[in-house]
Amino acid sequence: MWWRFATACVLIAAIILCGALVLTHMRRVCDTMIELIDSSSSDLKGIDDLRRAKQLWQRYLPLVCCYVIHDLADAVSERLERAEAFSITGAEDEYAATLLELKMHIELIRDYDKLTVRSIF
Amino acid sequence: MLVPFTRTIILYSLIIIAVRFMGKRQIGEMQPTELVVTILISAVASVPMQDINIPLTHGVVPILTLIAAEVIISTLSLKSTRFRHTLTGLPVPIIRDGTLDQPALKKLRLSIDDVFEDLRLNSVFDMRQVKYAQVETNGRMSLLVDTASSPVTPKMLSLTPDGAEPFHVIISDGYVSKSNLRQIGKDEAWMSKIIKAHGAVNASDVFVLCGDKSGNIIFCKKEKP
Repeated sequence: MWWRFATACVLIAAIILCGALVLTHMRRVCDTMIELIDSSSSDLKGIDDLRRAKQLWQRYLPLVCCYVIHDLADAVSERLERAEAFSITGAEDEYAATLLELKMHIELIRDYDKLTVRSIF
Repeated sequence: MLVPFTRTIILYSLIIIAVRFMGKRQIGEMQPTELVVTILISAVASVPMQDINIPLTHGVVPILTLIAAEVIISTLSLKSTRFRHTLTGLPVPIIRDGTLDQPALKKLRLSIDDVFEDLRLNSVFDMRQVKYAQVETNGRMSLLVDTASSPVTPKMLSLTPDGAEPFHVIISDGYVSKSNLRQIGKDEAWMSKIIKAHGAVNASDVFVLCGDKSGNIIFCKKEKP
């Protein structure tokens, strides 16, 4: 009986710990991505930062897909592709608008699992 | 198609492990908390099974949390009587000496039809025969029938019948259970003798063979199609 109780306690602790770790890590990744997008949004020359953001995103995509609904992750991937395409074609307005949308989505992911009274209820 | 299939297999395996982890009690009799957990698990598991847009972790984490909470609560209720009574309540007596306790019935929100149904399920068709009955915390009724209305037992007649031994399945559809054979204290030579005595060649010709320690057997030969 006691091994069940101990396992259950360990399980609860593991869920809290893993949750906290994933949450912290996701926030850090999102913050870095937002910084990279901000620095790439000044003009079309910021494509290197955008590519870095894309690489970062691709690396953490499996973790993101365990964390947020897949539609949201897909929306970010799609906008990253679109922004890169606009930077190549030189469509500056569309590029800026896409980056804005991208930032908005990443902010949504960053605050996805925010433990607040509002989010709980 | 493969994604829901894989998810279903994962969640199904997880639930099987989880129910086993909760213990055998879960399957047989359910206390209020166990019932709540069972309903919640089935509801929680179905969502990520059907909607592949939702991460699998959104199903796995609540299931693991529910199981862990259930195990912690059941352990605490086992250790603390007060906690157990708060969580599951107390058994409520509803019949004393053939008389219904009406306030208790009202408190339990049990109708007279429910009481009679439970009595019939306990093979009691006359309420006056009931000495004492109570509704247990799991909702089942247990009762004590008045001695005068109880069936006659060997003890009442001062008889000492031979102790009955349980039968064990030795061969089931051609498969031999060696552990059951050992339990009744017999060996394979004895089994072969029984098989041959009933006109069969070997164990694969036997549909069922049961036996007890006293050597009593139930034999059924396999029918050829």
